[in-house]
Amino acid sequence: MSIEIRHLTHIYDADTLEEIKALDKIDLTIKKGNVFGLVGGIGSGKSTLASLIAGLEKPTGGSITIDGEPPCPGKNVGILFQQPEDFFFEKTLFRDMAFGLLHSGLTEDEVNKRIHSTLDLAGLDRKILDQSPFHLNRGTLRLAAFASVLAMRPGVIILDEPTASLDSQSRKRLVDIIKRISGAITIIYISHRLQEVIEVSDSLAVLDKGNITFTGTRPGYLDWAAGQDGGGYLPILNQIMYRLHKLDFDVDFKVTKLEDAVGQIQRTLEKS
Amino acid sequence: MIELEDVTFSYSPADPVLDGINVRVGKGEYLGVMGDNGSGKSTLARLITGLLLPQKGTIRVNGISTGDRRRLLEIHRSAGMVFQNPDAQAIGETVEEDLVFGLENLGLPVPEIYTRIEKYLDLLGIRELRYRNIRTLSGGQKQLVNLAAVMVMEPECIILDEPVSMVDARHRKIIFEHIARLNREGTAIVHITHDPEELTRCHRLIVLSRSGIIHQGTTHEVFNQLLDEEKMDIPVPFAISRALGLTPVLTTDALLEELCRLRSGT
Ligand SMILES: Nc1ncnc2c1ncn2[C@@H]1O[C@H](COP(=O)(O)OP(=O)(O)OP(=O)(O)O)[C@@H](O)[C@H]1O
Ligand SMILES: Nc1ncnc2c1ncn2[C@@H]1O[C@H](COP(=O)(O)OP(=O)(O)OP(=O)(O)O)[C@@H](O)[C@H]1O
Ligand SMILES: [Mg+2]
Ligand SMILES: [Mg+2]
Repeated sequence: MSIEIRHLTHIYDADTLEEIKALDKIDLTIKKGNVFGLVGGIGSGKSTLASLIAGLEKPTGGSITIDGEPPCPGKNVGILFQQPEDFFFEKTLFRDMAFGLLHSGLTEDEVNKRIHSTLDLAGLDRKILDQSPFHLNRGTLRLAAFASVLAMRPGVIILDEPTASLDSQSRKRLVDIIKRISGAITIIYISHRLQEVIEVSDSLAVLDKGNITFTGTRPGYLDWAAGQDGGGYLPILNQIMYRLHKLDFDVDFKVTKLEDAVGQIQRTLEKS
Repeated sequence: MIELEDVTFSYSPADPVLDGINVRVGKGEYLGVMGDNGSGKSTLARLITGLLLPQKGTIRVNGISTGDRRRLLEIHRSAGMVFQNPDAQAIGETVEEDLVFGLENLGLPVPEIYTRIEKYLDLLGIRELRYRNIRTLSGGQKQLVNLAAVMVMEPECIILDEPVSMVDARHRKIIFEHIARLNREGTAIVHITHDPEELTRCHRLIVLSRSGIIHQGTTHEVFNQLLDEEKMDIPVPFAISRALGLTPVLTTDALLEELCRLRSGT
């Protein structure tokens, strides 16, 4: 499903002394089946945008449509919150995962089926369904939370810092799932882990204090990021390569793989 | 500064999280802690600050045993902790109230309290959050406030449990430069994280797993072992320098310096 965002503004505590303009007249188009990376400093408005697209809050101005319809949580759009495992509180993982599904009017049979199939997709053992969430580790719980969002079968999924606090193995598994489902589902991917966002995203946007300061494709993003002060928007590998490039090393700062970077450095060292 | 001797801890009897581990962190030492989800890192942090007590073994902070419950306040004064869950730490309603709270308890004179608060809000670049209600802050903003709340106390030892998991690169840099400065001035640091790039200033590293401490040594030694194992991430400059057959370095600056030296053939 494609998403159209027009003149979107969101102000918290409007018309009070504490008024905060979290988003300021934003325009964005997100293509069907794309992974759309959203980056930006702390407090720049990413989670606010996420909850508006997810239909959990009404914007104070402007509009959002998903294939022409307003966002309807659990129907055309689903969201994986920051640290979703903190919201697990039922006796068994199954009951936590089934919570939203049962409330959406599905039969018990259908709920079972859906949870089983998304668990398989996430590569998790069905045996964990009977366990208490308190006895499962964060990586497993995060993947299970993701699976339960997928089980709602929304056309759009928003992932708000899905890999924060995960170990490298769980992180890789999550990124792997995203790569497998993209194309069929439109995904909005919010993260401070630049390497990862760039790896998964077809196109990206940068938020800065409620304004969009960049939108474009992956290579376009790297060019833009290289031009920013301090290199804070470049993943570390690209930062290193960009600085080498500035030092007249014959290297391409847009490499994505460490092996390629090493090869390029080796060649320039041999030449000199 | 911090001593764990033969410490065993379990939440449920049959299933120990930490089993007979020994860890020492001296004054002015900087220890990094890594390990998979559920390996016991946060449990270790809670044990050090006396929030949990071990079933076996002893834990001392500044020579005081965490089992000596009458002296818990002293332990909390010398060891400040930034919690992993950013919602678990705040006490006050607004950011300022939260920072004032601990300083009042230290018995500092009022002007000193406000001087310190301003100093740390400026240092972390969050002055505009001063009068905000903590509950309405973004995830990263909460983490910065929690860091400020520990830093204003100027404790002798700081325990960081994934303190910047939701913070952007610009603020991360500011924070770690300051932590490194505090450390050079004598503050002991225990820094838990999944991101190896955060640990380039550590003196020593340990890697936890449910079977105990699986790696320990200097930062270089442990990253070398992790690189050989290929299971956990290591800092990018370290991986590049080793792939090039150079003496491994931890930071981008050190890597660039070495590469420029090599190119000019000196
Ligand atoms: N419920 C709220 N009431 C008032 N202000 C809020 C509320 N939620 C967020 N804000 C403010 O709106 C701005 C944008 O917050 P948001 O959570 O969208 O940022 P973010 O980009 O997700 O940041 P982070 O990377 O730290 O998660 C921030 O200044 C934040 O403090
Ligand atoms: N309050 C608790 N009650 C019961 N078990 C717990 C409790 N807290 C943690 N555990 C369990 O103890 C083990 C270690 O947990 P801990 O939180 O210390 O791990 P961690 O290394 O900090 O993990 P993460 O990387 O996810 O933060 C886990 O298996 C966890 O499920
Ligand atoms: Mg956010
Ligand atoms: Mg933890």
